[in-house]
Amino acid sequence: MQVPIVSNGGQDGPGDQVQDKEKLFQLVADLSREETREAALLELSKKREAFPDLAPILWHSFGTTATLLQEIVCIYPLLTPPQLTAHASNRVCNALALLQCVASHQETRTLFLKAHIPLFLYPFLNTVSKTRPFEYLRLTSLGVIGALVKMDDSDVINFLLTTEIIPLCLRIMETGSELSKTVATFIVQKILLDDMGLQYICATAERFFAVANVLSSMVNGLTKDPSVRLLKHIIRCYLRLSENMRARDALRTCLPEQLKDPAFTNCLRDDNSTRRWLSQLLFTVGNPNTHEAQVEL
Amino acid sequence: AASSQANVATSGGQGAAPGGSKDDLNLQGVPQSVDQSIQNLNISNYITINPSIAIFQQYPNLVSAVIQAVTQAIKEIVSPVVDRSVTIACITTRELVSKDFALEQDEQQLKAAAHMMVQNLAGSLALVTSKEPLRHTMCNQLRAILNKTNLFDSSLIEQAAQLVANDNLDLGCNIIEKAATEKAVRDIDVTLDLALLHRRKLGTPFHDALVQVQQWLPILPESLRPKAGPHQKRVYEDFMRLPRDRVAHQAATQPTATGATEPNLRGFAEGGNMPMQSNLPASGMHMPVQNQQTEHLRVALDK
Repeated sequence: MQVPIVSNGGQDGPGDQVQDKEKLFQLVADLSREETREAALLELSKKREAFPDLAPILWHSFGTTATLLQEIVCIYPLLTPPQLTAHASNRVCNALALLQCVASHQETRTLFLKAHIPLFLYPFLNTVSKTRPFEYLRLTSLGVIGALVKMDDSDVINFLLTTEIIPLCLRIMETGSELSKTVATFIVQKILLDDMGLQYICATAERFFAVANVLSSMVNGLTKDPSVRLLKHIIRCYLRLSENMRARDALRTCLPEQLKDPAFTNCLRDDNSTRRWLSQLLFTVGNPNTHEAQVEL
Repeated sequence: AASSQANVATSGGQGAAPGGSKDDLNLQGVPQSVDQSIQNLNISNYITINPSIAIFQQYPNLVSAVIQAVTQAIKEIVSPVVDRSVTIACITTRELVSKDFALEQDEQQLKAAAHMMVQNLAGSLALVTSKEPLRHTMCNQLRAILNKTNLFDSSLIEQAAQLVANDNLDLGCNIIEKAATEKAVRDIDVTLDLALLHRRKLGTPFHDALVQVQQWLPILPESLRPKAGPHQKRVYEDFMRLPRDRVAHQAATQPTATGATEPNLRGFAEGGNMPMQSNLPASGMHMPVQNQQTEHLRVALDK
């Protein structure tokens, strides 16, 4: 299968394309040598948008994925006790950016998953240090998982459920920066939107309340530090939870009061779809009839 | 008296290549399972009890109970951590080696690369997953044992528990790492069974990895293609060489000079469902965020 490499959206002349392709191959080759690796990581992660075929080239070229994996595991000793410097964090995050590229690409996502590579990111998500190098490392790692779940592939959801990503996301939702919280909530939302994911989270009271308590504490936190984008994902999570009957019952008592407070939700005035989700949520949870109707089914 | 500083040659063990030359823990023969390898190893001989801890000066006969507690904690953690780490390392190694050596007919080449990779991956994963749980379990066991005596107040117990746990954490980690690397080398040959078989039997139909690779060969230049022969193992040999403290050293000696691209969230926007705006804290993240890039990101994400 011949796959053409088009860079810059094909705006350049054919000569430029050949040159870009040569440059890309050179950079990928540079990854394999320690002396040139760091610069190549930076350059490739900056330019990854310009090369639509970067992911398959990274994956199928000899040793490149193994090299990226080395970059990841050699950071492990810096995690506990926390010693990660900005420099080391930047470098590994550039490697993660390339893996995100592999995770997003249609041709490589399944292979990436089959090789269980996301699991090597879990130790990063499991860190708790609040320093910027760690915050950035967690955010970038969440970005890779986010890229996977964005594809709406139930194999991805199944993989994540069986590998216990949810507790890691929940902790970041409780303690992370606003941006990390948002990405972690997005991941949980995508898991919930999958039927298997919803079923998994609602299968035990313990799991349900672990999620519901974190969502509720995030809503509380928003009273002090409002974030529309975070609120949007929280509402989407609640709405999806309310589609499960037992969860809906529980939500009648544990849905945060702020969500019913127009002063609190006024920030959503420009966001039609989120406002619609919110009213649907309040209606479903607040209306006992919807419950009875469902029970009769 | 307290068995003073029964210090093993574990110091620096973290820096050594995993699995390779760390036979100082004196495992007998080749153990068949993790449990057996731990049983064969007399952990208590290696446990360090700092003789200056007040509790043990006062009650030296408590030392054996404390050694028992530390041993118990290590045994509790080792099995689940090693099983998980080795399973993951074997799968990842199988997939990457099968792909990179798809055109290699010599099963020894494949096997050698797999061994180097799997030891590092399993050892690294085992270490990073076990450290905090091990410290936690050790402290808990020690507290429980010392509490039972009704001899000391809780601050004294806490202090002793922390000290003993700290002094023996590296020992525990090294045992777990060693158990993981050894099991990984044994397990990977089973995991690779099919791939090895394909190379032994001439005329075996093309296997998956080969089909995959051949599909993508045309887009790769000669220099990046997987090929046959012994000349291309270096990346895999690096798994054995990679000194663990390279990064620590590098981190300590190099200034924060390198830029990084901003968090990789751009892709999310395409689904329309994703929240990202790029209001990364302006003085925030430690990496320089270029305005142009930020603007691009903002436009792409701000839907």
